[in-house]
Amino acid sequence: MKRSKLINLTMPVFFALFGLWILFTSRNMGKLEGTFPRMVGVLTFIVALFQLYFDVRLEDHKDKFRGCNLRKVIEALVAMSLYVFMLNKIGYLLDTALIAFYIMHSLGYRKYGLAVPIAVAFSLGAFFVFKILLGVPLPTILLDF
Amino acid sequence: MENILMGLEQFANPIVILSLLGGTLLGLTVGALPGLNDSITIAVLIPVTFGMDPYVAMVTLVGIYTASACGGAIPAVLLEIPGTASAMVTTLDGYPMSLKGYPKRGLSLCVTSSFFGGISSAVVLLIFAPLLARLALKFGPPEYFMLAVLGMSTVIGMAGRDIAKNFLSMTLGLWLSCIGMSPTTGIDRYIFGSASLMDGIPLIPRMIGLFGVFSILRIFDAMGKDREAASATNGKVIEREDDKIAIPDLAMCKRLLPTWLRSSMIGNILGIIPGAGMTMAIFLAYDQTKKANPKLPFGTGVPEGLAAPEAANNAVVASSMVPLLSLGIPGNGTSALFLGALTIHGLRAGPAFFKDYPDMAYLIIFGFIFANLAMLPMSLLFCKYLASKVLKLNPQILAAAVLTLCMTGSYAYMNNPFHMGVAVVFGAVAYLFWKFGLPQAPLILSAILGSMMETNWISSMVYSEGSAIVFIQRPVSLVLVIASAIFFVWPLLQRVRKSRRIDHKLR
Repeated sequence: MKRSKLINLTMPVFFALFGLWILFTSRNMGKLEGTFPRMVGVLTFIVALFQLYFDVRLEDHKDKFRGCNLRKVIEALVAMSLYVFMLNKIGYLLDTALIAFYIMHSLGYRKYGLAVPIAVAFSLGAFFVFKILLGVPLPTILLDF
Repeated sequence: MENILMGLEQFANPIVILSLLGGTLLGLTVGALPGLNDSITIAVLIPVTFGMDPYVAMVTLVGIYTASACGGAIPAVLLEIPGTASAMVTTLDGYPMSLKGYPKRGLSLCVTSSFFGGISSAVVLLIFAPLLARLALKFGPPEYFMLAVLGMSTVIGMAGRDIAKNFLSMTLGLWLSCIGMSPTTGIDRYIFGSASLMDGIPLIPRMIGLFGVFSILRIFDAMGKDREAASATNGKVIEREDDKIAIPDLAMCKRLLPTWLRSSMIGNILGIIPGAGMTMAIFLAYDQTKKANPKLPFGTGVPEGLAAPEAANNAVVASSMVPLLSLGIPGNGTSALFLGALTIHGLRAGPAFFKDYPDMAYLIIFGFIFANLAMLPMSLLFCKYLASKVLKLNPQILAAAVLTLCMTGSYAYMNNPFHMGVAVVFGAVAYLFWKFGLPQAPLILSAILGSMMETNWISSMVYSEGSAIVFIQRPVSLVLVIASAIFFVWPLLQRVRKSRRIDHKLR
């Protein structure tokens, strides 16, 4: 089977399994709270099978990930997840400055003399608006007031 | 009348006026920046409005929504890059007009057409939203259930070509609406042991992910491609001496009036229908204008080619708020964000909105009217002095600013880092949806309407002792059943007819 077809089939297969999973997990729910998830599960499974049938029959499959920079996208998602994970550990200011710098750097901004102060300025600017003006308790190590 | 005056009274506050103007300027700016749009900006800014006065917050968002569709035309005309998806069609005649040496005339036409479309939709909102809300006050659970079904049917029938994909997107949204406590029994479902999921997945971080984080991932996705290719022809644009930013003269206005009227009507109707949206409106308006003017060489810089999509996209803006303010059903993704904005200020959109919060309801309506009135001169000045500077803003620095606001905004929603994670997850979901050609609109709408559907389904069943006949026994519900069937089946029939016509031609 072609790589492009295989990639395209993952979507309906995922939804078919997802529909079955919804049905499976809703089996212990009562009549009132379980009816709606069961309806959703059945609908998901049936439509996913339809989609799978059409995708299997389709001959001309385009590779949806061809030409895109998937590695960079995954890298960005990992960086964002790390940002969330580290927030309470290193504090908002440092964490945000780091992610802002990472975004600029990884998108190809190479003027480091400007990138660092810009990243710090974004972090301080957002801190000022949210923590000082709006009173949002952003996690901080320093400047905890 | 008293209610209208209550809404108008709020504009006596200079801060409200300034916020409206500020929102309009921001809307123009983000619209002009390729990669940013109204949804991203509103999603990111809603958390910033937490601490604001609700009136100030809402008019700011109204200003952004009103002006961004107009701002999207600026790079479409000058660079052949649509600033927003709603300006895709504007490039067809906008850029050729620039190549002819009339970029400023092109921008002026876009601004004036946007104003015409925008004002028409604000008037539609003023007339229809209170009427529909008054009617909806008589609705019971079967009608509400059918209203949700109607919203789903239109979004599935019209959101895209592939109906099965629309369905799958919708079912995922419906499942998302099941997360948290059951609205009927209070028993938790699909919370995976997380207390943060007890109240379900909140709308704001979800939308920040679907719009804001996704916009960043798209930039990463495109890295390495020749992104400059589209603007490579930029150097060919020359400016003639008689080219200037100004409202078109009377003769041109007379010439464009039928196009403005036709396109505004298309935009207004499609705006009111949940799920139809701007993209459909611009293509339909352009197509109808072409049919109405068969002798004009569209695609070569014809004024009608700019007037049609620009009037249509702005005509969708305020009219998409009609179902939201009167029924609590968002017309599109951006109006869904308004639902979130109202909720965080303790307001609930729906039939009782005009009765419970008449000041806010009419503030929003008049906000759209005033934002359009302000948009015309502001857009002309913006195009004259700021447009070229805004287009030079560095996209890498902008991306960093957007992500900073996305993450901080998600945290600020309930002071919980968990919601930042929600935004990241939904950014990834939006990316996969985009890659696999799954439309986002059914996901957004069904995740909002899901709990309304479930609650009213159960209430209807209790009321009718388990018989589904209740949906066709009540006249309004029956009308909604028929309307749902039409909205669902009609686009399908159109497609079948179109494919038969193509087959016939090929033979």
